[in-house]
Amino acid sequence: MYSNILSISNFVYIASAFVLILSFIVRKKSIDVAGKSLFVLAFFIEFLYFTLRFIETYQKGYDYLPVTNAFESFVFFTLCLGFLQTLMIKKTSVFIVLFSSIVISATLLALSIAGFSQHIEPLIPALKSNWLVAHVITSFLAYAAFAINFVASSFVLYSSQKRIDKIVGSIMFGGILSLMFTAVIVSITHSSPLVVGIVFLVLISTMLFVLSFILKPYTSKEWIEKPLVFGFVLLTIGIITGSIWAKYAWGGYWSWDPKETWSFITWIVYLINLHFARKKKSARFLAYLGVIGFLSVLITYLGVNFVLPGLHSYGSN
Amino acid sequence: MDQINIFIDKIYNFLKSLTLAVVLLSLIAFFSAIGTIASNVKFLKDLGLDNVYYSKWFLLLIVLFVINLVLCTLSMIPTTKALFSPKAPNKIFKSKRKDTKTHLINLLKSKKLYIQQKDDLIAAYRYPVRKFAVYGIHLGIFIVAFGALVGSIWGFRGIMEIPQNEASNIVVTRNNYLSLPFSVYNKNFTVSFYHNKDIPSEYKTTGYIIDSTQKIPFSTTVNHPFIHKGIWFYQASYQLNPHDSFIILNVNNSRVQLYLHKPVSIDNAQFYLANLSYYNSKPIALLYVELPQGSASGWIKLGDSANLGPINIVFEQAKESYITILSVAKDPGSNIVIVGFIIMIASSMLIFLRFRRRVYKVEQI
Repeated sequence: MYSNILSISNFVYIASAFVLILSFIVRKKSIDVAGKSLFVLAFFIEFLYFTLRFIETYQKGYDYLPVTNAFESFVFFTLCLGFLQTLMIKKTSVFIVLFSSIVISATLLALSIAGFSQHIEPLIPALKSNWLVAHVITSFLAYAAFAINFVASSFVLYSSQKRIDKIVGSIMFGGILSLMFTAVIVSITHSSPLVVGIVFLVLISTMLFVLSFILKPYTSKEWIEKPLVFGFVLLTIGIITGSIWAKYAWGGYWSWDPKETWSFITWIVYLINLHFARKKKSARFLAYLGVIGFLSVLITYLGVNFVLPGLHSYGSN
Repeated sequence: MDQINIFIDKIYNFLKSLTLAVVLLSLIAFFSAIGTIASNVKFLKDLGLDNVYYSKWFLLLIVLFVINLVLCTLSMIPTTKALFSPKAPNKIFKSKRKDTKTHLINLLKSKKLYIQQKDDLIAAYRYPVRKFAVYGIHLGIFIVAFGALVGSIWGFRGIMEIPQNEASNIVVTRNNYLSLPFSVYNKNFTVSFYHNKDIPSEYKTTGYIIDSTQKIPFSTTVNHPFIHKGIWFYQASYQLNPHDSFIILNVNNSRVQLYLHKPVSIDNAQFYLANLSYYNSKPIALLYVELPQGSASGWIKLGDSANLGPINIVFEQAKESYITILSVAKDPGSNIVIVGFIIMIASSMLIFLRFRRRVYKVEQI
């Protein structure tokens, strides 16, 4: 019934993206504000959706936060990203808000064609724990912070004067955008997502690469470092709460299950990134680490759930 | 002699360097990543990389990293000390008042700053504790690593499989087995399902510990381990006991008892029970029947009947008996690890405070 609210929220996110693109071109303060306001509005609509789903889950008698299957977890990821972005909406540069809204709507659009079950089902025994809430919220806020770090990193590379940086930046943004367009096209034409995706990736990345030459280099480290520190602390807490939970569920803090291992690898990548940031390395250097870090997040979040089997596999249902 | 000192210095500088930390961490990350795919790639598996996490040299990498961490942390102390023992001012405080110094101190104190006085210098710090965050986090990591080491030396982890109405004291570990000084008796194992769903809601084992002459009752469900003499028992999994699980079929009005995985032949027909499970809280059986005319297979619900040409079968009764699978762990380093976790979380929170330091020199005009 209320699942329309999620679509409305997605629609508002897309609208905010268009307004932000406009403000990027026109550079008018009022359009800035309008775009950002739409973003915040979209977040609150999404939050309303989440709250309603939460209430429904309780009404069905399953007392848990709706973050436990693939569909819910993707929605929760976008919600966390929207939340972090809303918290610092005033200070954030337009392009970061723009790409946050693109990441969110791309994820939600892709989710609508992915065909995951949207039913509210009761929890399997392994997930019935009080640690679930702390573990999932901290981990997802960390992922969201790293997504912002990734967007800023990609923008540093995209606007750099070195050709290789521009190529990497174009592919990264091209990847996000082609995810979005692929989702739209596939939902209309039902063609193969892989083929459409690759075509879009090549087209959009090439177009972005050409466009990149009109940009002035962006070398501010602010939006690389702030989310990096925040995300790292939350990831640390997420791993710790997860490992305490594991102690109660599986018999030990650490089992080298693929998800654990990849979250550990992600932690190491950002740990290195953080220390290099403290050593005042260049924005370009940190940006590359940010890109590597986010790829590692994607492997932890997606690759492990859908490719490598393990103790965390229930996330793929 | 000097040369030796220079050499030692060089080694020390290398061991405490960030470069070494990055190299070691990258290696640890790299081999961890390889380990997650090694079980699917033959030549990596042949190298034993799927179990890289338990190898001696992986441990060596971690030990080297911890040494590097400790030395690096120690080498930061002089910088921190210097930060809190001001030598040169970075701000001049001018005033016409006679008691300029106490006035400034009161002023700074009212801002809730931490104040240090040295000769004519007054240093004021906001959130001085922020500068100890890094020590806390590093200490936390060190303690966690130490706790893990203690656990890996004096602890163990394994699996116990106990059929219903039986006791066992054998724990199978990753590459060995051991026997506990007491045994665990599985009185009953149950799977509960959500109302009208085939999603399990709870796995539960009840029974008692037989320790010399004592009988100590326990019950355990997933996420709720029980502890006896420092050893933790977890409900991990279960399986059907083929020797004790059977169904009763009514075949052409004669009753047949059919055990799991044990084919039975009656009047030219062969019956095979492949699995027993639940659907909507009702027992279901996966049945294979072979007749001279052909074969049939499928799930059949308790109470249902099926007509297979010459024979008529009714699923009359089911009896499942489960082997409960418990994870068993003893970890004497557990509390040490928890202390490390708490220190890590507490100190990493400090990162969000904003440190500021001003060193004033007071001048009277």
